[in-house]
Amino acid sequence: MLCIPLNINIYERGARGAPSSSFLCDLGGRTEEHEHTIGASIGFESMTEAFPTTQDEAIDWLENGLGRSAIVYGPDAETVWEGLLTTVEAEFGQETRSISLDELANRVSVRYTTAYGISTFEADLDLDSQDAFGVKVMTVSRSTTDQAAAAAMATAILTERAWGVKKYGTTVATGGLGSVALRLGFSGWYTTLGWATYANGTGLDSSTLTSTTTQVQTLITDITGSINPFLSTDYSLITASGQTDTEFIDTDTTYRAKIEALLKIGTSTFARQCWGVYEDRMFRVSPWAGATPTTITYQRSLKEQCIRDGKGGTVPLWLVRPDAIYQVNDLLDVMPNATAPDSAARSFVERVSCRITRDGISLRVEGQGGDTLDDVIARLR
Amino acid sequence: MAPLVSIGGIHLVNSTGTPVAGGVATAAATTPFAVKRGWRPMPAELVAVYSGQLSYPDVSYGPVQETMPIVVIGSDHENAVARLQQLQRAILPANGLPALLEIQPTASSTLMQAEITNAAVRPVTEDESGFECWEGFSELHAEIVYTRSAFFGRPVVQDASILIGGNTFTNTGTGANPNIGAYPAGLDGDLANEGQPTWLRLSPGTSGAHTIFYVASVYSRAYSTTGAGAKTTVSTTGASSALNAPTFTAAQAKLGLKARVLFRFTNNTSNVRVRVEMRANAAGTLLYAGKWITPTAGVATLYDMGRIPLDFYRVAPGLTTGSAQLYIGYKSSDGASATATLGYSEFLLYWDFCQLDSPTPVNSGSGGSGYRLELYSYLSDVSGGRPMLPLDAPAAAVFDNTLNGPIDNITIRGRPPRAIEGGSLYLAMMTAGNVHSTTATATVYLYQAPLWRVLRGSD
Repeated sequence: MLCIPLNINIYERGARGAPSSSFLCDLGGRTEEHEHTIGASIGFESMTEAFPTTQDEAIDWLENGLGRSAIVYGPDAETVWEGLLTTVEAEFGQETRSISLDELANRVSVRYTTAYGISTFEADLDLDSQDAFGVKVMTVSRSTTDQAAAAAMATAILTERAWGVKKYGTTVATGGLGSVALRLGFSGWYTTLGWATYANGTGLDSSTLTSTTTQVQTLITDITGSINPFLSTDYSLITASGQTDTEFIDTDTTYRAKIEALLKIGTSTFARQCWGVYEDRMFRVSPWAGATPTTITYQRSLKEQCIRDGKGGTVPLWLVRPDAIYQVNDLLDVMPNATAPDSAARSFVERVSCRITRDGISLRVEGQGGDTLDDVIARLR
Repeated sequence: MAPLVSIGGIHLVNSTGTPVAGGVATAAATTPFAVKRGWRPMPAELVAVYSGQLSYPDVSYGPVQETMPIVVIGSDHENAVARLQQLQRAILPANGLPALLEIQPTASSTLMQAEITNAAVRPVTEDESGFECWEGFSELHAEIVYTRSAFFGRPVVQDASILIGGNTFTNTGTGANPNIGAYPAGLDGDLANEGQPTWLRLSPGTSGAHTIFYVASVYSRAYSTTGAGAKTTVSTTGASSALNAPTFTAAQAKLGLKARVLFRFTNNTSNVRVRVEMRANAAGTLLYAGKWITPTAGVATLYDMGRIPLDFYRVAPGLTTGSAQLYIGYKSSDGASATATLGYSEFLLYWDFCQLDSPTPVNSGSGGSGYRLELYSYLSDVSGGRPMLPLDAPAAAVFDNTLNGPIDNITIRGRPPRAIEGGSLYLAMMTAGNVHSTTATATVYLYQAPLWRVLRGSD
C-alpha cells in the first residue's frame, strides 16, 4: 500500500477499445509502487503500477488486461493521471511473461514500389482485433515487388501482430524461486493519436491554408468520430494559435504526426505551444509558460522538501504538472533576464515524473532539452 | 478471571489460570497452553511522509512482527507434540482467510482481533532445561513467530460504534436538518484523534435520481449568502466579486485541516465560466485562483470548487476573520454576456473529502423498495467473521433494499470520511450535471470501526 492514499480506478475496455464506465477495481490499496510521467507536449504520458498478486490474477491481466483504462485520483479527489493499459508484465518466479499494445497492429499496410517505380500499397486488417482494441496501423515499406507479394507480407505481419506479441523470459537457477508479481504499464490517451494514419494512409492532397487550431480540432474529430472513439471532442481547452498552415497531409502520416507538425509552428506571436491530453481525455493547447517567465507556477526553497505555488501554497507532489515555470528561491541572487525562461533560479518544466511507494514520494522535474534538474523532493521515514 | 488469548481458535491462556495437562486446546477452561512471560505486543510502526513543516504528514502503518513464547503441557510427549501440530495448523490461513489473534485482557469488556498473515510455531531451547521436543518430555516450550495486521479491531459481532443513527439530512446548508451531522464526543479507539475508518449508509428520499455525492469529514462548515446574486460579464479575461470572509483560525493549530469551497448556483448561462478565488482582505492581492469550470446552464447546480491552500495563513500570526476574503471569479467564454447566479457558498475546513459517482441513480423510489448507497472503509461482516479492520482500498456500491445486496459499483474519488474526534459528516447530493435540489433529503447512518495499535496491558 502506498504512503499516499491514491484511488487508482481501473475500468474494463469498452467496444472498439473505448474507455468504459465499467468499474473493475481500485489498485490503490494494493500497489507497492506507483510512478507517472506528464510531458509538456503530450499531457499524461506514462504510468506504472507494481504489486504482488496470485497466479490466477496475473493470468487474467495477461489475457484480458490490455486496453483497460485507468483514472487516478488523489486524496482530495483531484485527477492525478488518466490513460489506458498498454503493457502487462507478469513475473511467475523464474518465469516472466509480457504482452503489449505497442507491438499490436490490426491494420497492416505494405507500401511498395513496383518494377516500374509506381508507389502503391496493400493492406490487410483484422476486424475482430479492431472491435476489441480500436484501429492500430502499422506501415512497412518494400521496394520493387508486386501486389501479391505485398499482400502476402501484410497478411503475415497481421497474423503475427493482430493480438499483440507475447514475450517470454525463462531463467532456471538455483536459489529462491521468487514470487508472483505484476507490473502494469499505462500510456496516456494522447499516444493513441499515433495509432491511425489519415485516410488510411492515402493522405490529403490540398494546398488550402487553414487555421492550425481548426485543423487540429478537425483531425481529432475525424479520428474520434470514425476510427477510435477515445478522446473528447470538447475543445474548450484549446487556445487559438492565430496561425495558418496548408492542409496537405503526406501519405502514411499518423494523426499524431500531423497534429504535432501543426502545433510546432507555434502562435501568431511567435510563441511555442504546449499541448496534450489531460483530464476527461480533453485535448489542451496553450502558449507555453515560457512566454511569461516571470509568472512563477511553482517555487521551492532548498531547505524544504515540498513544492509551492506562486503564492506559497503547498502543491502536492502528485499534482505537479509540466508547462510551468519553476523557481528555486535560494538562487534568486543571480538576476535573470526578464524575458529568458531559463536562468539560474527559474526553469521551464518540460516533464515531471512522480514516484510513490510505501515509504515515500519523489518528484523529478525535467527542463527543456532533456536536462534533468534532479529536483528530488522526498522524505523517507 | 484470566485474559483471553487465542490464535486460530486455539486458546493460549487457560481461563482457570493453570493449563490442563492433556486438555482440549479449543476451549479456554481446558487448554493445555500457556503464554510465557516476555511477550511484548508492539504498536504498529508509523510511516509518516512530510511535505513540509507546515503540512500534516500523510501517515500509514505497516504490519507488526512479534514473537509469543508459549508452553504446552501434554498428557505425554506424543500428546504435547500433537497439540503443537494442532496449533501449527490453526495459525495458517484456512480457506483463504487469515487466522485471527484474539485478545481480551482481564476484566476488559472488549474483545480485540488482529489478522495474522504469516506465522510459524518454533520449538525452542530453554537454557538446556530439558524441555526440548527431541528430549521427549510432556512439557514443551515453543515460540509463535507471526506477522499481524497493524491494528486490533473489534469483531463484527460486537457491532461498530454508531456515529450517526438514521438522521435526516436535507440537501442544503441551512435550516432544520441541514447537510451536516456532528459525531458524538468521546470516540472509541486509539486513532480517534487521527481518524478511524467508517461505513456510510445513505438512503436518499424519493425525489431526485442522485448520481453524484460529496461526502466529507469536516471540522466546520460555513454557509454564506454574502455576495450571492447574479454575476454578469462580457469579459473573456474575467471579473471577480467579493463573497464572505471565512473563519479558519482553527487551521493554524490543526495542520491536518484543509480548506475547500463549494458554490451553489441557482442558474447560469451556457457561456459562463466560474472559479473560486482567495484574496488577502477585501480587494486585496489574489492569493489563490482555482480552475475554471463550466457549470450546467439553466438549472440549479452545486459544484466543488476545489481545495484552497492555507500555508500562508499558517505562517502569518495575528490571523483574524477578514484576513482573507473569498471571491467568485467569472468570465464569458465567447465575449457575449454571461451570467452566473450564485445562491450560496459553503466553506469547509475538512480532513477528508470524496466524490462518489454512481452509474445507477440512487433514491428510495427505485426498484421495489428503493436503492441506497453504501461506502465502506473497513471490513464489515463480509464473511468468516473477519474483524473490522481498515480496507486497503475503500469500496462503494448501490444497494437494492429489496435484495439487500449490491447491484452496481460506485467510483470513489478522494478519501472517504474518517471518524475524528470533534468532527462532523458533510453530505451533498446531485443528479447528473451536478443539478442540485435544496429540498432533497436522505436518511444517514454512519458507523466507525475503532482501532487499537496495541492491546492494553502486555504482561
